[in-house]
Order: sequence, then C-alpha cells, then structure tokens
Amino acid sequence: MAEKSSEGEKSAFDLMHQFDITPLKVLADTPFAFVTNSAFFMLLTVVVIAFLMILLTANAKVVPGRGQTLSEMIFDFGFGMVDDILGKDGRAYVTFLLSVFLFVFVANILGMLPYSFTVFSHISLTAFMAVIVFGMVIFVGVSRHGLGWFGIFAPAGVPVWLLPLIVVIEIISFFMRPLTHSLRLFANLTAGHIVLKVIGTFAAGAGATSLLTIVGGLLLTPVLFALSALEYLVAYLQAYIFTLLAAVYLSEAIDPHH
Amino acid sequence: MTLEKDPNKDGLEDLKSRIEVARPRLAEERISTAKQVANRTASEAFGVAFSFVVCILIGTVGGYALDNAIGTKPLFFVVGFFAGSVLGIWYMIFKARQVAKRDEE
Amino acid sequence: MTPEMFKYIGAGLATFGFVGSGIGLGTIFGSYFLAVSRNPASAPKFQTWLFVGFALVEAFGIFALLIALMIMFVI
Repeated sequence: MAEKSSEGEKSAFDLMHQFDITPLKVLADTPFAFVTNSAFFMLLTVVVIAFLMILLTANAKVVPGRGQTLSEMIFDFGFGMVDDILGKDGRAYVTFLLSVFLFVFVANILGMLPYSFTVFSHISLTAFMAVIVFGMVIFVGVSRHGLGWFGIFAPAGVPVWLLPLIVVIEIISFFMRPLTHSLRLFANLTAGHIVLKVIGTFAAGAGATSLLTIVGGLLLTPVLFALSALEYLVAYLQAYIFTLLAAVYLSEAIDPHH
Repeated sequence: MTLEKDPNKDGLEDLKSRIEVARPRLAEERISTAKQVANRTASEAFGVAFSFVVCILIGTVGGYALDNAIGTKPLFFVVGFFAGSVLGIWYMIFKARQVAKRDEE
Repeated sequence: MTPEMFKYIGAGLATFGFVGSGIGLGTIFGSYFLAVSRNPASAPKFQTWLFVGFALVEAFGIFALLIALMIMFVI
C-alpha cells in the first residue's frame, strides 16, 4: 500500500488493489457466493473464445466468407507455428498450443476493459500453465524416447572432464524454465497494469493540488492513450511468446537432438 | 469442347464411379497409425501434466495445513512442496514408461 | 532516514536492471538487421527467433521492474 500523503488522508495512489481476488459482490447472497472475479473472468474468456470460434466456423463453405477467413487465419497461425518448430510429428500438439494461445490472448485483452480483472496478473495462474507445459515436456520426452531422454542433460561433444559441471548447469537451467516461463507473463502484465494505473491516476487529475498538476494531467492523456495501445500489443506479444516457448520446449521433448 | 460433345464421356462416368468406391477407403486410411499414436500421446500428456500440477498443489497445501496445525511455520510447507513435486515427477515418468511400452507393440 | 526513504532508494536502484535489457535488445535487433541486410530473403525465417530472443531478453528487464515495484509496494 503506497501511503504517500503525510496528513493521514486516504491516499489517491491505490495501485495494488486492482489485483485483489475477491468474491463477486453481485453473487453475494446466492448459492454461488464463492465465485471470485478471477474465476468469473476465466469463465468469460472461455465463453468468448467458444462463442467466437463457433460463430466464425459455422456454415463453412469452400470459398470462405469474412468470418471463416478470420478463423482460417487463426488456424493457419497455429499450424504455422507448429510446422516451424515441431516438425511433422507436431501436428498432434496444435490443439493444445492453439488453446493456450487463445486463452492467454483473450484473457489479456479482456483485462484491458475498464474495471475488469486481468486473469494472468497472478503468479499462481501463470505458474499453473507453465508447470503444465513442464510436465508435458517430461511426459512426452520419456514416453517417446524412454528414460534415455534424460540424456539431453549431457550434450554431445562435451569433453569428459567438463561433463559433471555441464550436467549440473543443464539440470538447473531445465528446472529454471517453468520459473522464467511463468514469471515473464506475470511480470509483463502486472507491471503494465501498474504503469497504466499510475499514469491514469495522474491523467484523471487525482492528487491535483495546483494548476501545474492539472495541466500536467491533461498533457498525460495522450500518453495514456499510447500506453494503452502498447498494452494491447503486449497482450498479443506475451501470449505469442508464451505459446512459442511452450512449443520450443515441446520440440525438445519430441526431438531431443533436432 | 463441352461435355455433351465429349467422346470420352463414358470414361468420365467410369472415373466417377471409381472415385465413389475409393472415397470411403481413403477416408479410413487418412489418419495413419503414427499420427494416431502421436494424437493419443498429446492428449494423455495434458492429462498427466494436469495431474502433476494437482499433485504439487496437494503436497504444498497439505504441508501448509500441517504447518498451521502443528505450528512449525515454514518447514512442512517446503517439505510438502518438494515431496509433492518429486511424487508428481515420479508418477509422470511411471506413466510415460507405461505408454512407451504400450506403443512399442 | 525513515524506512520509507530506503524503500524509495531501493526501488530507484533496482531500475539499473534495465541497462542490461536495453543492451541485449539492441544487440538482438541489430544482428537481425545485419542478417536481413546480407540476405533479404531470410527475413521470414529469422522472424520467429527474433521474437523469441526479444521476449527472453525483455523478460529480465521486466523482472527488474517487478522487483522495483515489489520493493515499493509489497515490502
């Protein structure tokens, strides 16, 4: 909590409360009182994705109309990413990777709406996704190549006297992967929303005590506009990077020596 | 040369009937066995990975609850986390070896 | 020197992490430009790995920002 004023009045800089997970106030007296805003927005994401994809792929014709073109672009994106990185055995993972991408992307976009809650601004949710990817990597690697898959920790062409050190470093970096994978998405979204809140608080004129701060707030409004555009770009880019890295880690499980 | 004046019209009818016969057979062979194995492994992978995460969660939350009950604050939390993750990884490797043995047949 | 002041000093010092991120991003994009200028047809081939490299390097800058924000608001 940033208490910046010294007179003891309620501070205008209320930066971290936008990330609180609380039960929804609307459902307080119903049997569904346990539903939190995080769960609600996750459900909303799934509903939006399902609705959109069903709407776009209904009445599929050979010569696509506008909606079908959009859904074909989405599927081409998924297949293109998989063909680039995973090779010919990777077609089985398109479903998983495209689902991850759509979920993260739509959740980030929905978090940009006013008064909404960004689902992936909590390390718990991003860690869940990253550990699922980590688990899939181990499972797919061992099921395709047996226990010899753990030989990726000892890369070829390493001199024997250097091998113990290299193996230790490789194992540590392997276990650091879910950590950085989840931390990247979490930190980008949290930092982006905090910066938006700070600039937005100034631009809305809160804490304005003189003409200078009011004018400064007015000048900050285009900056807020540009920052929001940047945040939409970050929403797409971070979803893309999350899925891309998941695909890269899976490619190491499917095909350890490329 | 339009179709009505085409001298090979009977040949086209023959071709059409042969395509009609071949079409269901093509549809059956479309997904080869290698792809079926890969598809099944992919969906099993998600299920097993989900169980892995749930195992870690159970270990961590159980350790935390044990901590709150007994009072040793960080100890069982950390121990539960590592125990849950080791158990989860062991479960995943066990199932993966099962799948590898099954796919060899 | 109240503890509040140390928090602000700590948050300010944590932003030095962006230096590494800036240098890394400049290196990555610079080498992409050099590679594309030598062989313009290879631009789509490198584009995937450009974004992977960008995200991996940017991640550490964002970690530094996260630590700065955590020092300011969480501790």
